[in-house]
Amino acid sequence: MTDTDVTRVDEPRGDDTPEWEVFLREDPGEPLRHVGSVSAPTASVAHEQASALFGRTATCLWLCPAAAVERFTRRDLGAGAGVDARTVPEAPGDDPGGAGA
Amino acid sequence: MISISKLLCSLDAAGDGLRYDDGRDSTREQITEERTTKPVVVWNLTRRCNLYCEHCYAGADLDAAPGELTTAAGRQLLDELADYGVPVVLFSGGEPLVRDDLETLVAHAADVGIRPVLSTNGTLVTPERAAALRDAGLKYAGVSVDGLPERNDAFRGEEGAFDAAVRGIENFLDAGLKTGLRYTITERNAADMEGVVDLLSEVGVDRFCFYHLDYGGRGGDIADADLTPEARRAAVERLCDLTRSYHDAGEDIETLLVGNYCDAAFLVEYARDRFGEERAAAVRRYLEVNGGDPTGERVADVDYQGNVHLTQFWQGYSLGNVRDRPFGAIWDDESNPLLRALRTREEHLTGRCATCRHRDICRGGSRLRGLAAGGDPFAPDPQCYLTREERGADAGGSTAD
Repeated sequence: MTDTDVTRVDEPRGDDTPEWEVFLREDPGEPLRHVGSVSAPTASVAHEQASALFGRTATCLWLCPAAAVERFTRRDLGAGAGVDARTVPEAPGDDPGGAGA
Repeated sequence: MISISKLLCSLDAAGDGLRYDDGRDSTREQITEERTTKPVVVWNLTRRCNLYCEHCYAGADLDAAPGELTTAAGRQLLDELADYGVPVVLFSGGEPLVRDDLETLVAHAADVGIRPVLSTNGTLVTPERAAALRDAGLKYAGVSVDGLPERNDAFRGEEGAFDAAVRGIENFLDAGLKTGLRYTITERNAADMEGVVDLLSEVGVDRFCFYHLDYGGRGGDIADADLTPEARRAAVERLCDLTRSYHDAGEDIETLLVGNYCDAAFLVEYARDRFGEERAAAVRRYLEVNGGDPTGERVADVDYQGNVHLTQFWQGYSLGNVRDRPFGAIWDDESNPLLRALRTREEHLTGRCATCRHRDICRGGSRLRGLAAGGDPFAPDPQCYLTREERGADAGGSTAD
């Protein structure tokens, strides 16, 4: 990715309950891969939830607060659709209230 | 969705092609002529709602939440869903009518070839908005009512909510829109089912969808108000009897069961008991085509922030976000072991489900309830009410446990 074709995704993945990105490795020889996210109030609860979902196959599970992840993509959803006529509701503060907030 | 009226009363409906691959000879216009492998997508447009219902799976709130997809992002999402082959988008919430661009998005869905349908509490439906939604191309509106007036208003947290919902239903019907009831059955309101059907059929509603409580969002907080297996079986049996009595009287109401595919097995047993083996076999064939619980396969959810979920009820886990990559890329990514396993779930079901002879038409029921009750997405659904005999001689577990 180069700076010119990359969009930073600033919108949150969660709301009142923190969101945790989940990474796993099924085989010790393979790289970690992202398998989605869980909503949980703490890291230990997030680990419990991720283990329930993926424990049968994962040899390694990593969790990261979604709010701590800087997301960049070549995609810019809605950017090509013209001016947005709708008024987006005010968020309750600058911090979206996601993980770690 | 399992149609009681289709399976027990042979009622043609718009969903026959989509649900049973049986639309070619139907007298009704079909959503799709043939069963599609692409999911119906529930899009929770917003988390905001003007009510605060006890059982809300989306955890909707009176206040705005950050990160709603904008109109432009929504248009692109709909474009991508159409390109992927999604047949239906159910606009939901929160309460979708709190967004003033709902009509714009409904119109865009219709323009790109997706059937737009709506789930609403009905209380914000004025004659003007009903007409605008009709003009935008809306095909169906489902209005949530969860009991007779007193019970519904207590459930929904606002006095007068029942009357406001009925006014909304009347406004939809006056605008010429097909309109149905959405009713979540719990211990608290099961006694009201017949009364609500009688009352709303007088208003002109002819489609009634009965949802079993799923344990997502605030629905998980009131799991203790869920029906016992025996009471659930009795409630489903009453709905079958009610549907047949309406049809016998010449009133072709459509009744559907949602959210517990144990009902599929029960309908086979009900047909066998009331009509004999031949009819039971025919009902079973339809349900084999239908394919059982649709989690992660025939139903998907995109929440107001663009997170993709396995069903609308399973908001606590997200596969990914449409701001990062298109819906189709997320939905097709079977490098995700949970998604992959859900699509071959008969191999992974545990306990009494593993040997149940109805597992091909039920597929274990709700995987979210199995997870909530057993800590494993392949654990038995606690709402199963089949007897040991109905599950088959080899099936383990106690009767109706």
